[in-house]
Amino acid sequence: MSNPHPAHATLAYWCEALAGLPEEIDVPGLRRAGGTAGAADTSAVSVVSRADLDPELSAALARLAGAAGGDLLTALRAGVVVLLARLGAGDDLPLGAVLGTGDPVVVRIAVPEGASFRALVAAVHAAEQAASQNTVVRYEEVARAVNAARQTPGQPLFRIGVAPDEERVTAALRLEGRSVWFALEDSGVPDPARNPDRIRLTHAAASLDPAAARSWCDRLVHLLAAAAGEPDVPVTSLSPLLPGEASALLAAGIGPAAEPAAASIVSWFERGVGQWPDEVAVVGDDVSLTYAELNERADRLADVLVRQGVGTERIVGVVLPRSAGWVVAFLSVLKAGGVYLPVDVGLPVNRVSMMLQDADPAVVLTDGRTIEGWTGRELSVTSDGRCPQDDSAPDAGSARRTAGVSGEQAVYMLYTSGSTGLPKGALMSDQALVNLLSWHLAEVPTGPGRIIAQFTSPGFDISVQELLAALLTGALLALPPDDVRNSPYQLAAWLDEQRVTDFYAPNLVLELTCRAALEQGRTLPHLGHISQSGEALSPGKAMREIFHIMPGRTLHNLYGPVETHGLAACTLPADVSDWPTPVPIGRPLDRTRIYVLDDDLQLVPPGVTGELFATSDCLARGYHSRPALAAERFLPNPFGPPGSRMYRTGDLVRWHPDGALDYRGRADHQVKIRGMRLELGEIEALARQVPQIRDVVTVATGADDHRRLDAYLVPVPGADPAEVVATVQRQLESELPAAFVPATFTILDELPLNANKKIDRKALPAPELTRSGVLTPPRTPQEIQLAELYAEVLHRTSVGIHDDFFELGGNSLLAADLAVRVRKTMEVEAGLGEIFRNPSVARLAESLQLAEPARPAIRAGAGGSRPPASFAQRGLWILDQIEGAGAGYNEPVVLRLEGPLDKSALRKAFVDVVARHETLHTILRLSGEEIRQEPQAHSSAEFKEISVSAEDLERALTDTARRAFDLEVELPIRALLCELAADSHRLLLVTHHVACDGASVEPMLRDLAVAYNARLRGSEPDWAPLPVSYGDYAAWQHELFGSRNRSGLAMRQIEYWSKQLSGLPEAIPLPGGRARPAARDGVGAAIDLDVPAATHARLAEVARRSRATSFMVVHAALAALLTDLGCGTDIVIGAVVSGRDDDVLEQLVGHFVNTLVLRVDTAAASAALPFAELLDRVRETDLGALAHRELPFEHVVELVNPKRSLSHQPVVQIMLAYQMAEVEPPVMRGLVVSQGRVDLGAATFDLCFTMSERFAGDGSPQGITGALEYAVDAFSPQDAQSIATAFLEQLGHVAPPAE
Amino acid sequence: MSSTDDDTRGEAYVVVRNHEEQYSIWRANREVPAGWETVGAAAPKEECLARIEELWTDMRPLSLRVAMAEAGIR
Repeated sequence: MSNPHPAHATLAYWCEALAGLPEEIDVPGLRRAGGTAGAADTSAVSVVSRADLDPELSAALARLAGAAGGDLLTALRAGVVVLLARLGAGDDLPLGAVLGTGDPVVVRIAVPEGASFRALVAAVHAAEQAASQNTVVRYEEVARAVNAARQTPGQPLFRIGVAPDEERVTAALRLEGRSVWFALEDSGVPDPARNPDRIRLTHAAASLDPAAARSWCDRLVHLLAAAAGEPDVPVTSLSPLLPGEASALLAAGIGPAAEPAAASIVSWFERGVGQWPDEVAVVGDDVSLTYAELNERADRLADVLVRQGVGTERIVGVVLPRSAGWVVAFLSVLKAGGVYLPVDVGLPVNRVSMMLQDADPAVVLTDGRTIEGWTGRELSVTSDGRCPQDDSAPDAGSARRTAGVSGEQAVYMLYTSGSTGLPKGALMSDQALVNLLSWHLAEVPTGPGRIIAQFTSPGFDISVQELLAALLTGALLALPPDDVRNSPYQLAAWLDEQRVTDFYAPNLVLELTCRAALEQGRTLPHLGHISQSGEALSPGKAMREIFHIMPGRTLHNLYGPVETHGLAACTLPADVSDWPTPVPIGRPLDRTRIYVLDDDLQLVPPGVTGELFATSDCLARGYHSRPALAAERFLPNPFGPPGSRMYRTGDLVRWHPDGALDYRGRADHQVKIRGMRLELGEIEALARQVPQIRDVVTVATGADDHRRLDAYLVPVPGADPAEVVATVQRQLESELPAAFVPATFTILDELPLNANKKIDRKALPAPELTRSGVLTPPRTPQEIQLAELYAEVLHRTSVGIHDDFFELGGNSLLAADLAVRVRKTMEVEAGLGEIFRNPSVARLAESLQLAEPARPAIRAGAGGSRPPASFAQRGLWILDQIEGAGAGYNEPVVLRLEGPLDKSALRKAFVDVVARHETLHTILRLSGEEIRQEPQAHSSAEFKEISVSAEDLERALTDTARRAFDLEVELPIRALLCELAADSHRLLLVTHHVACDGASVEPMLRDLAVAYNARLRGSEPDWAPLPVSYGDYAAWQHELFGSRNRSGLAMRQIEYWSKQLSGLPEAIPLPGGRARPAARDGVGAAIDLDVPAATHARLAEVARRSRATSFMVVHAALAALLTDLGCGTDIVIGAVVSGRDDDVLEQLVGHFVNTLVLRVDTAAASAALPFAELLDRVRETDLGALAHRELPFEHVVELVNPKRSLSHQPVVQIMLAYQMAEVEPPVMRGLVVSQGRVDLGAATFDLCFTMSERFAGDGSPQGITGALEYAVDAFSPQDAQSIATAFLEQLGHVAPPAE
Repeated sequence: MSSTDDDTRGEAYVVVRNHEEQYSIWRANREVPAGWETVGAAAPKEECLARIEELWTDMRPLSLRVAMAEAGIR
């Protein structure tokens, strides 16, 4: 090593070299790295595997590497890179290395596209050289620095290493116990004259599967031999397979060679009709047909179709609702020899007309409705399968039908999403369908007496399987009405009452239906076979329970894209506890061959993820009139039989050791949403048709049932973003099924591109979920419970009360799920319609308000000219009289105003704001017994302007902020404008708490900005009048809680609080035995509290699992801490609620907040109260308090009637205040506005923990910022600091309970 | 695993056809699987697909066309 860099430069080198390091190396056999670096498992015995290296091979490799300046180790490294890449680890590979004798370093190798082994060796050597220049810093230090920027900070920097010898491997394992090391060794006595002749692999037992370790060694030697033989071909063409492995993989992919059960579907059906003519074939609505009747009607309609020109390869569009008539239509098309094209009547009209235009059917069958955009032939079919336009004589004789001419003739066509914006029709042949049903009916036998539900949409391939599973076997096909299909509750009841024996549905529907059945006490005893198709099967609690309570019921998982209909399937074990997770998609169907291939269409080793290709008798013939698309997806099959085609599914799978296939996702930009496959390109192509759109990209996030689509739009310059979003949304809604319309639309200036100038999807920002992007936390017990349920259903950590269920990714199925949970948890009936009409938590809570007694409304004008003071104002006024005017209830706001300021406009704007809000121009005066609000001429509010230097600014601000108000004389607001320089000002607004609260800041600043912008133009602010005044609110409060006429609501709340607070101690003992002064002086100081995002996320997770809010979790943690700090077990903490439950109060400046007294008993029967139990108690306390939140705190104090003391505040001495995050600064023309801080130096309480949660756009927790304010006459700064630290530690230790 | 629509690296493909006169494409540098014949010279993927749009005008498999003709169906 020449001229090593100094340490800081070295760290900088590693941070740069290892930026964006893969978070994880995912190769079969390598177990996930848990724990931390270092002495993770040094005591564990290392496991060693070996493989012989032929001396000639090692000599050849050494020569190859030597030519590039390296040695045998360089070649070994290159071989390991090829091995890992071929095992699916990607092409960005960090390898551990021990260069010299020091710590392990990372040699990071990017495999260039198309690189040969010779080129790779050179690249490895270059990486080794660079790393060897930077070895002066210890591994731990590098790991710490690099990991700070990684998503999973505990991950090792590398998992696989290459070292020269055993000694250095042992040393490296000591530093990174989770690593796996290749080294060279000699089988005999080391001889410097020749190369080592063995490869040795060493690792802790927990790191690598032993079988994998052996195969790694073998594959590595195999690959090295191939590479040495052909050093100039691309490494991607070197096969990682061991001898014999390819034929074993091919054999595993071959399905059974069973014979088809019939020559054609029609002959199969007709043969059955002769066997069971009088069995009931189909029951729907009020129509029921026997097999003989069904056959007769289908024959009749087939004749009509033939007379209309339908025959082999001629398409018939079937646009019919689910009815017996629809079943007749299906059969008649097949009998006529035509091609059945089902069109779901629920699709948008544009999509229907586009499909019909593309398919160009000979005739379209409808229920009499007119189809927009279709001008071709149309026939109507009644719900019992008759055709009113059929005027042929009863004995007209049958027309010539062309069913069964060839197994290759198409029998149905289904549209599937296409990337060009145009869906494509996949044509399925008669022979494919016969083969599929032959397999299906052998796997899930059925027959007369069985009842099969026709649940799936007609546009979905499984519907054909449902139809034929019944119609070919003499079973009964039961058609549920649409409203039954859409409600899990009704569906469960219907399945039970109809005695359905076979049910096909996608995963989420199954789960919801099982849950609904269990809740209704239905075991569904007749339901013997349930088949999942369309989604990844992941049985939840309810599904498991349904199978558990009835042994013998079987669950089938069916897999296959539209182009193959069915490809693989598995039947789950009888015992639910044996169900594998994840559920595999199973083994290949009859006469089907499956291949798992890499990008080069080579077989991948077992366990490695590859793309699923298939050749099958079930394969579609291709796409209707789309030769290029068909040619791209149906490829020559290199694995035979000669001339056969294989279909490229785009699905990623891997072979499971037991011979089944695991589903691993999509290889391309397709996603599956509720069983429907979707090309993101189709959405993008449609969005691009909007002229104001320059570029667009859509991404799917979330898994399975909770998948959501997010769209990112780049408008043309000058376009109005809101209008662009609205236009695109309209466009997509009119063209696409609802599930394909993105849930969010985010406007970007440009799309992020990666180094290859492709769209970098990972670099897209989090989607904008709501226009404001602000999460409004729930305010009432109902809202809390609802928000919890929303979050559960939508798989989010938190949901704001104004967020729209459907904009957050909800859909009708998830809405049904929500309705079920609402019914269960809240014991309120929430219909689906109710959720659709009231999609936000706030609105739904309002519409479900049944549970909460109604409150009288706040009436405008009720306050009159001299309204009474609100109870809070009265309390503050009295306190002011007792303790003397102090600054403790001053609420300062500082705005930094940078830019040219029009002072006169600002002064006028201030006057405007004071005039707008009654509280700001009102003084409080004792008048007889009552304290009254007396609105004043507003111009008397103080507005001072000063010039001040930067050094004196702080003092000027604090002087004004700390100056007490005389509430009887002075208006409760004042302003100080400080000029620092011509273009730099600070505006301080100080408002007394009698006139404002935390939630007042936003309307106050917004109104100030509106007024300033108007005054700049020389006009008056043009704002809508406020709906009510603070006086009206005070009058309403007196009406509810006044002593003269107590309302029922007041009585109930008084009763609750008396009970809750009976025997309340006078004051809570202070932490650490600190003594309070005889008379508090109100002087305070504050310490910042910062809860990191990771802790915040954990708190949110604990909350979610415990059905609590994050406030409750923090409350519980604080209560536990206070008990630990010697505050006893009767822990009383104050909390605040906004008090703005009524919408009309939202824009008002005024004091609406109320303090709730939260009293929790932390005493434990045994040594320590488990946190979960404490959280339960806290939850009960907090929910109870919230349900009785209106009774003014001043009343509560009167109820408790504690001994008054100058030493502490009555009832509550410790506060935990959750606040809204800081408001957006107002927009003032020509100015850059931001919010500053001013230190009041006051403490109202002994300890006050204020906290504001921050969330990302997708609702994920981003940390909590806050402060601990403390009374300096009770606590030293060190005391306070240690309490703050202990509090943060306590929060850090809260761990989620098991789910 | 890269996505399937990313493999347009300007690589050469050939148009191939099987016994059912079904068309497809295949990378030019790889051996054409048994039962398939090359149609025309190697070209970029897009060009091959465009050629298939012109060549593959009747997408019915040959055996179906024959069966329909034998049954007297146009």
